[in-house]
Amino acid sequence: MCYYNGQKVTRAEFIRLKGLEKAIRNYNFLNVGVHNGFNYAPCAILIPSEDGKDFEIVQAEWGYVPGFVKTRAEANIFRAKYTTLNFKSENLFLKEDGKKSMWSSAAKNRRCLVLSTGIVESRHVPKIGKKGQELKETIKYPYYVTVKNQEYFFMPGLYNEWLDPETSQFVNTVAIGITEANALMRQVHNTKLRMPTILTEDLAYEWLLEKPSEERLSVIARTQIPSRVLEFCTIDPDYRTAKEATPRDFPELAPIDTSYLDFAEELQFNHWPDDLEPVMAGAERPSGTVVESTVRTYYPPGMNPQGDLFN
Amino acid sequence: MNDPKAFDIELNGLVAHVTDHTIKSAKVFHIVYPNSKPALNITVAENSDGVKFWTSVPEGRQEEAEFAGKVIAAYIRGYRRNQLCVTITDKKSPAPNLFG
Repeated sequence: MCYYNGQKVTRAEFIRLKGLEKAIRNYNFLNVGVHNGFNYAPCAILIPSEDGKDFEIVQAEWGYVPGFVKTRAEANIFRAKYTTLNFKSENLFLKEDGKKSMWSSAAKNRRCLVLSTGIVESRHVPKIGKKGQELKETIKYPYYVTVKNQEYFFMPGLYNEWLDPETSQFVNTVAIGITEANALMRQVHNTKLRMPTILTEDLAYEWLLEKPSEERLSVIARTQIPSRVLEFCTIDPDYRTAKEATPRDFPELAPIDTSYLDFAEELQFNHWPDDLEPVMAGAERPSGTVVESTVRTYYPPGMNPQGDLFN
Repeated sequence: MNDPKAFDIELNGLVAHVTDHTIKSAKVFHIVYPNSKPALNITVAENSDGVKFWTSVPEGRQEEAEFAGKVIAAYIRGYRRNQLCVTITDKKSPAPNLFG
């Protein structure tokens, strides 16, 4: 006979409850609407299983902490100094100066996927002075951006299992890949002109479970989702405290230029299928946008494509 | 008729937010308190005599689990009762006369 929380339970019930405990440790954070990266709060990531054939969902703190960081205080200082929420996909293996990148080891050995239903970025619009002139100070208008017809999507991540000496527990920490912005995101994230890398399901599978070359990994990490595949709306600026993205109109805000809907957007790393782009369907890509074809993934028997795993 | 997936309950004068999750075929309620108290997960377990009881997962917060469990059960019973009332009223309502 066993005891659980002071109650006498059968061995089978004890095992069930202990199994539930383990599962809950990985799931009880999923009901958060909006994750604010600067809180380093836990988010859901997919990591390969030990045999590398499947994956599991685990919890990770958003904000990569390398192994050499010794204490929680040091980790917070490191994050504040280097802002490791994101990794620049251009520097996956090499830095601008040609030296080895800090992401290199994780890119080879600790790749993961970050699940998301949407991203929040702010558009900065200069305030207008009394004489009608533009001021340096800006007003931030937050936008919620999602992928059309997809409840959730995958971003490439790099994670590290870091030992927190204060709790003697391993903590996963993660950084998300970012790439050059498309036409929509250049207007929304107009201060940095960057956007998160959003992968097709095939590329997500390849990133997580296959063994691509360094060159191929760099190409995947730089994937630029075309603007026309994205949907957007402005939201209430209270999203950080409300932890929810509530749509809100700002009548004073100039609309986003959506002329990208009328022509085939030229993106160097667009790996998204043409059939998702009505303009491109049946047409040839303009020259200069040479794109490696995505490899159709083989799914082992009993394993569905990733899009079906949460049904 | 589905039970609510997220709702608020009052615990000791504080409004706590509850979400309903199914994990490993078990119903788990995740309770988030408005203060700094850590969130609590509770589920229904069965003791060796076959009697069901509320328990915290992981162990250690049994008293809180029993209290919150009773409040949640009362909330869901009330919710189901209201749903039933709505259904009965709907069925018994005469068809509206559009021309009268």
